Amino acid sequence: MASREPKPSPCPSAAQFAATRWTIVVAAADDKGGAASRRALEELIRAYWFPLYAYVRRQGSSPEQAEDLTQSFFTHLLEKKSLTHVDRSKGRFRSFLLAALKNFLADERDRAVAAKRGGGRQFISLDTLEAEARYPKELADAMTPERLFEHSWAITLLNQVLLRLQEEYSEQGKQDVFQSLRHVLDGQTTGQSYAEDASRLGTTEGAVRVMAHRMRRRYRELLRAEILQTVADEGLVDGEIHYLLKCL
Amino acid sequence: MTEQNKCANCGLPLPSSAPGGLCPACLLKRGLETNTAGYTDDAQPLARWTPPTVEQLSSLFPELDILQLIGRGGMGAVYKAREKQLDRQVALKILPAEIGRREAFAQRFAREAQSMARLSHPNIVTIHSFGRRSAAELAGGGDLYFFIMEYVDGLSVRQLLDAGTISPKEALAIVPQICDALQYAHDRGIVHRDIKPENVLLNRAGQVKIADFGLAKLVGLTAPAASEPAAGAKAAPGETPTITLAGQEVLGTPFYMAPEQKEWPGEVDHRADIYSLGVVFYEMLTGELPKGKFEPPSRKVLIDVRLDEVVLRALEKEPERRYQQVSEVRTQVETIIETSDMKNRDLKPLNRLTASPIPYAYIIVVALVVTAVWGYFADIISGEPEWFLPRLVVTPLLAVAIWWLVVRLMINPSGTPAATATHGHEPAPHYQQVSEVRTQVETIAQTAGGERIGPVPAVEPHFSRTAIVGAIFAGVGLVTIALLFLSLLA
Repeated sequence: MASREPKPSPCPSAAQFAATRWTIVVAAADDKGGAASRRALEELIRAYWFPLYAYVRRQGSSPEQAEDLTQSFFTHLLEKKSLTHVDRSKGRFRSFLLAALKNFLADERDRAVAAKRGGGRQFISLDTLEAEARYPKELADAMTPERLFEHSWAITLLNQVLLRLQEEYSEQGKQDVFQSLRHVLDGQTTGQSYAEDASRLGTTEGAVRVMAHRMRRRYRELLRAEILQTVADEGLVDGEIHYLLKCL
Repeated sequence: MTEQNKCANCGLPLPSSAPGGLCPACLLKRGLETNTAGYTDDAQPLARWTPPTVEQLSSLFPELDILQLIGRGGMGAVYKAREKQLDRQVALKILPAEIGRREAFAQRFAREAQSMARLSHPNIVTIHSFGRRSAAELAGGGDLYFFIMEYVDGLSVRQLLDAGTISPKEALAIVPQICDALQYAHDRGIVHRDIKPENVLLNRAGQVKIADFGLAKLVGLTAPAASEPAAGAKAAPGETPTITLAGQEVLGTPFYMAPEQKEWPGEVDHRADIYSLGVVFYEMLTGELPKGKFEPPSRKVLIDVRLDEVVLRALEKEPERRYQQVSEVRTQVETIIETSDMKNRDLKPLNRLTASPIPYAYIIVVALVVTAVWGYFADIISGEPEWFLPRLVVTPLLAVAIWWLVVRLMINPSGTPAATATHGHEPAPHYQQVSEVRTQVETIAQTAGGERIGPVPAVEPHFSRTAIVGAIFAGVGLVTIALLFLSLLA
């Protein structure tokens, strides 16, 4: 799992994340070496494998086949065979990953999938049951595989961020606060009173308001930080959000 | 097919994969830059513009200490800075580079910025200076246009709305100040065109400061195109940029735009601001935007029903049916404030004192009793009973008159005009209402900013208990004096 970020400070900046994982990978593309680069790539894949699975599934594979293919793809990636694609993706891990996956699948089709399984080594464990459960069947049929990939990417990203936020709150012993107030994050309950939450948490409405404000703010910081991990620089974060909004 | 759940915020259907049951679109949108002391707006033409870094700006503005980026949006980026020579805090606003590259922008800027800078009003963010600096390496071979403005230490109405509902009292403290600012600008021929909660700032004293007056016209933002352009579509040089849509939804601003502003952007007059004010007013009262068939605010919140009329009239689709002057809105709102029960209960202890019958009854009874007793001894026993009745009648009347005079005299010279009926258009805010706004702003700002601010002295013009009791005793004392006086006459 990713390393822990320091406690929330009033002014987070890109500097807190000294080098995003994606920039590490990109920087190492030339010399194809470096354990750091590989570790960074592993971490990224660990977080974002689901959109890949969804794409492969949508292409027509069964759950088992999809799992196989996805695993092989990871092996392939981590063995540094495909980092030459990096410069074409305009600094986004998402684009890079999809392009690499497409190329891999095209190659694999030529080679008849079943035989190759990367020698039994599994870098990333895929929970097929979980993957299949998350696969949005109805929605998927209405989309192209690319669109599904991006849609799943957005959802996965949001889940990641929520998970991190939850972990942060748990670490501070505020698990109950998170559970009670998570509903404020998307703005659907703005304008309603916090009376219920206040009584559940045993505090005043005013205090709850402040807590909610803080949580929303921290969530936003984490969201931007997470996106930053997958793009080359801060300036691309907004663009990525806009793009993903279109894919939902 | 079963009915899909819809997001209460944006109206899009919630997918089954919605993270934690929350709307993914709204969750994502939260990541955009909007939250910092209201200097930003939601409109993001392209989000490709990277604002200059603090270091880059420091070399460009040697006379300033650039402290930090505090907000950014389609209309530019704002930085907190300190003017070295004057040692004062300012806000530095940089317009996006591509806007500076547009044809004929330089002349327009010079003209418009000048009229913007001429606005000098307590409720308008003052512009100290403006201009352009050549920044070859930054703007891609062009000039960087900037404004140096008053720094507002506080929050925007948007942040207050996000943090929880604004109470009706607070809303009623904010709106008249917005009206003041707008009327002032309209009198000078300037229409804001982009009134929205992000642009209405509140400093820690609870004073409203409106930002970005006239900026929308300068930057030339128009209403959004209805179709879905590809992300990354660029405005052709010389054309005014449009607010592009991401997905099926408009990001923020256009909802506050008057209908005529969306259809015929060139034909807009000051009444568009009144519409936007109506939207903001509605949102402050109810926490929601007036969408489609919306309910009058009094049905959603406990407020004076007459406010419905004000809000709804401001929200009329046709400009002719709206208020024609912002000052009319203000007058209406203030009339309602003054004549509603709410205000009488809280804000007019002195008027209540003179209006209420209780002290009078008390005085009359006391005067009668004392006069009767005194009269008994003075007249009846001393053998002049014909004085008894006149004395009994006149003394209480005299006492009441003196009491009324005394209370009135005590009101005027003490200089607490805010507690009495407030007529006219004083620039000073209504203290009791604004102090609540201030408390709200401080609570949030303190926890949000992490800074401790000292207690701001509260201005509470009301009468203490002792003063009231003292007045009553003084009245009774005067009754006695009156009696004695009459006795001397007798």
